[in-house]
Amino acid sequence: MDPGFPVLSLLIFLPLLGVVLIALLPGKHTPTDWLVQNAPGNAVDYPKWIALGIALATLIISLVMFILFDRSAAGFQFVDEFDWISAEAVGFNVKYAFGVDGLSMPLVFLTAILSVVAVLVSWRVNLRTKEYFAWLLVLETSVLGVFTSLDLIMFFLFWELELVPMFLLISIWGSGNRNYSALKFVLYTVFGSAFMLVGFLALGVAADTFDIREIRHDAVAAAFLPAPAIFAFIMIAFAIKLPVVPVHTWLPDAHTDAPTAVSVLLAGVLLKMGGYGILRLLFTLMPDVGADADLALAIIGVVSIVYGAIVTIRQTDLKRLIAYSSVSHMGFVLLGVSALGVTGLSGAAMQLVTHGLITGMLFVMVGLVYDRTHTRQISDMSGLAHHIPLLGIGMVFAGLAGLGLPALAGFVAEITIFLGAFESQTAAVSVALTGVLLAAAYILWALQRTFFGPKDDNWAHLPDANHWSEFTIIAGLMALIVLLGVYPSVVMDLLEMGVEPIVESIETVVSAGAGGG
Amino acid sequence: MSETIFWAILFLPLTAFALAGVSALNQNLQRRIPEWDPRYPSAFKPIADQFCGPRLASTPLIIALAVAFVLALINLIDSIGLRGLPLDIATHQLFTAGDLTVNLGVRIDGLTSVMLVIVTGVSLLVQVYSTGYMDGDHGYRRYFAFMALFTTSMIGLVLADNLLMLFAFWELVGLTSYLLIGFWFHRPAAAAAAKKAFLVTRLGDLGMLAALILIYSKTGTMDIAEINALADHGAEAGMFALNGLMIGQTAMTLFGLGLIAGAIGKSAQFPLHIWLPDAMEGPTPVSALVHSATMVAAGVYLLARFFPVIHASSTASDFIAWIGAGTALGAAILALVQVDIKRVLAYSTISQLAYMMFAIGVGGYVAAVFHLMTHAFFKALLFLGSGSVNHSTNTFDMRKMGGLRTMMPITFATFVVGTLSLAGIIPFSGFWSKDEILIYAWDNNKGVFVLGLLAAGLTAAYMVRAVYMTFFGQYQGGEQVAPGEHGNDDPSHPHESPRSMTTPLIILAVISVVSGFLTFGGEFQTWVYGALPHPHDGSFHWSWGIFLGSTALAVGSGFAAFVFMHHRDRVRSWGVGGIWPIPEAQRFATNLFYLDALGENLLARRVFYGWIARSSAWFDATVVDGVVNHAWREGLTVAGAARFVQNGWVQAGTISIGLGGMIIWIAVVLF
Repeated sequence: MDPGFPVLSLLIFLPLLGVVLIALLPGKHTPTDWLVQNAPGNAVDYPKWIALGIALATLIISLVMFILFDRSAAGFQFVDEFDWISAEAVGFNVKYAFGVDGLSMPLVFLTAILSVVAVLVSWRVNLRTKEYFAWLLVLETSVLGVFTSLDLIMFFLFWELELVPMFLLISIWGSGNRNYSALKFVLYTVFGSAFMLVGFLALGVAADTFDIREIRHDAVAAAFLPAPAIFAFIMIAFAIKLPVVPVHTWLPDAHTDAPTAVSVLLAGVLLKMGGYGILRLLFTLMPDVGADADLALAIIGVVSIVYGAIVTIRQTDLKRLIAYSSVSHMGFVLLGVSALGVTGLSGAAMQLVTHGLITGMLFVMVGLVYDRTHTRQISDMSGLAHHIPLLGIGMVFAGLAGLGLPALAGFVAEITIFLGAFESQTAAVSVALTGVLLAAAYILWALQRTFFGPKDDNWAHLPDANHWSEFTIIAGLMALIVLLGVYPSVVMDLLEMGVEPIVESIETVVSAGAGGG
Repeated sequence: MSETIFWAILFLPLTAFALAGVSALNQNLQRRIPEWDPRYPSAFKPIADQFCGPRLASTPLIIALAVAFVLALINLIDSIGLRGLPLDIATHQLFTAGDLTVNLGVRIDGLTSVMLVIVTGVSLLVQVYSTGYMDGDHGYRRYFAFMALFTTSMIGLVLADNLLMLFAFWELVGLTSYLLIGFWFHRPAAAAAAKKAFLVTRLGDLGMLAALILIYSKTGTMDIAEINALADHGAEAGMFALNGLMIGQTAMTLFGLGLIAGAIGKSAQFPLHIWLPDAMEGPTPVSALVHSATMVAAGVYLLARFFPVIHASSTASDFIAWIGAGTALGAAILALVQVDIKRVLAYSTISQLAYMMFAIGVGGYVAAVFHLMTHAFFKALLFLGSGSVNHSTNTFDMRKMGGLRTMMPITFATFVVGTLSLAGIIPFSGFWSKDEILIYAWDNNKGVFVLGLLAAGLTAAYMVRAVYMTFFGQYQGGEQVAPGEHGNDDPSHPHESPRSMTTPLIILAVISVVSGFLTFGGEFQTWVYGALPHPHDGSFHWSWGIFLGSTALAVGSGFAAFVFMHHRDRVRSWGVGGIWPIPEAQRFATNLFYLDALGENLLARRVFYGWIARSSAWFDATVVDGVVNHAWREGLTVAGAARFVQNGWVQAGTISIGLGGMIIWIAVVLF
């Protein structure tokens, strides 16, 4: 699909335009501003309305792209490129290049949806709203950039850009031990990025280009580092981002102390950058190394699934519990990838999308509950469903989706991963099955202790969901989760299209290796 | 019959679910929104109340189920005409991912047809009963929404033409069971029982999930008919092979055992039976429909559905035969010491399901399905009867009942019909199905037969004890309504239940008598055999020896129990405590053989939560995270040292560069 119009650039940089607008227009928080002083009753809060408008506009653009996306053509569509840096002499050529294929299109769409959710869930934020919504939009741009970059350097730039808004959003608008958590998040990511950059430079210099489409895996042999080292270096960054055990401990801290919208985006799309990177970069550029690493990936995946779930069960903070469950769920991505087949990889990609929606919704629900109770300690809550039944419906629904109930999105991804991976990773899948039981245990037990049980009069005054923004988020996410659960083809067909070339290149190198060896 | 009819049967209750959901949501919105949001237009309120009231929750469901029941009956007549052979209905592709194709389709044969009639019929009667039983409950609308979702899921389960679809609906009935057990979620016991039920059954479901994955990865198909045909074809040299599908004997056995694990969880067989008695925390009509008549029978349905697979492996069939026989006897013993009428019926359900299980194990495929059907009717009847008793006494504790036969004559009469049927007294329906199972057991496995026969004797004893405690002797006054709960305000004067509740009782009582007669002539058998890969004609089995033996045992032990109960005080004065002569045995039984304590308290709480999970969480916080935090602090120290170097003192910088250059030079020279 070639629209003859740089639609992707528009999509990616539209949020930045929103940032400019927010910066130029007055915000409600500046009472000295003459415009606001004169506005009737200070009723209009420009930043959030601008942010909502921009987020909706990106959602509409990405929806149009999603619909216009040619489901019969392989490869990248809506490509938008020109040469940016040409230093032929030293072999450093960087392109400004964006494009989407079957793998990235659903993730772009997911990012646009969750950005709208993030703005809506922040509707009651009062502190420094101008900066807050501006940084949220910067975050959206950076994530969209990561998912659509076709050049390693561009990918890296957007990957790093995301740190700035995240650090500020957590450390200014967060709660609890927010400075520690924000710094921990940044340090972990930067630690991984350093390795990733070395890997990218090694790849790009060896291949004479940083264009993902043009790097051939045989060119990697000429790099100044051995291919497995490059693979491992880049893997460190993605493993931290995903995250997998044992580099996961930044996640619960960052999630717990982040404001709700940031938790939604962090769980919903930022973690997906790790899974996306593994599929898009590691397995596309170095299928031979990836094929050799399958057992290691499966083991790391299973350890994350089972160990993550066991640690989740002991959590006493509701938000931290959901955060730990992400570690377990992201292990499924590695397990699916380790299958090295279309089914397993499609399942892994599907898990990225479905987990984004489901955990996004879980964090929304926990955030809305926290807005009311001002506590996240599970032991402080009891019988909330009596007082806030509508939020109770949302929470139970999201929880059931999280434990992989059929007819909801998560089941489709998990069953596809299991069916795809069993043949090549029999032992790993057999162990991973227990993750399904453990997920049910931590979700249902948490629900039992918070929403069920006797009435607690402490909470009698709590207002239920009562704002249009809350109804919109809950109903919208529920509808999407059910849609993907009963009719997964909407997304699965695209993802399948996206992973097919990856599997083809894996099969080519594996059969060549078998023939040559 | 066109395929549309079957989708209609599935979607009718689903539509009712949507409407009941709207009704329940409206209830919550009405209750909450006007309090804080003056912008909520109050003009909506009367409109919403008129069209989205409680009737919107129950009436559409009853209409939908009535229509579905009629459709199921028409299909049944068609199916009988076809001798139960499967209809030729193509499946539909839902989605693909690489080689994986997931389909959605219906399989209609004799087995499906009988299940459809049971599910829609019992559900219809239970919903009618519920309009009376749940009347006035705050959660009336939510209740019918859950019930509609349950019935939809159950219908989907029996319609499924492939294992993945079956598993999906299997999990959905598990979900609705969870929601219905925990319906009164303000009671801690109900919330805990709901979670326990979901987790224990899911433990079994892991086996089923593993079986599903195994069969797909070995044969590439999940189609029920193809798998059954492959299993039925038989193994040659340790391999099953048919139509290009191949699977080894070991894999087939493991597949069968995985299915059995799922069935053991869902049908509450030893050792996963511990959830079912706790599930009685749900409203009684739920116990009648979900936890006796339909959902718990899904495990039996699963094994009947895959009968050729179970039969293809002697390991699998022997395993389920012995599990079933042991559970049948063990649960009957536990039923004998319960004082809660619903718990008596719960253990009785476990015991009866176990009958069906060992019937499958000893090859009594038709007998199992037949008992599933008769049991669905008479056990639903008994549970609804206990609900009727509770409706006027506010209690399920039989020690607070007694003498109700004159005050609640319809409930009493119908309950006795259910009891006679359950005890297997000729000519009530339970007799025919139970004897058929015993005949199969006698022919194939004498050990299983003995356990089954003993269980049959105990069945009569515990039911006579329950009937005596509830309906005979002096009325013990019932129980006052707990504050905040809904019930009969004057339990000291019990009264017969409203007509909406007694009518279903009478209908079920009639069915409990006549449904056993289906066995004559062998038509029913032929029709159910139609679901197998090699359909064959069935016949009516009769054995005078087993008839006389089982009847004598049932009548004898029932009579003994009656005499014992009637002269309880005199018996106790002889120094015998409880119904068991040895106090230790009595204690062992009242503590449920310590199985709940072992599973829940020791394994789940102590070993897993207290030890494994606790040490993992400690490891995560102290080691995994601790190392990083430690390194971080060390890093700051190093940074402090570095700051000393980077102090702007030019000479130091020069010296550093010189030293660094030398190190690099040495390195280059050496390597």
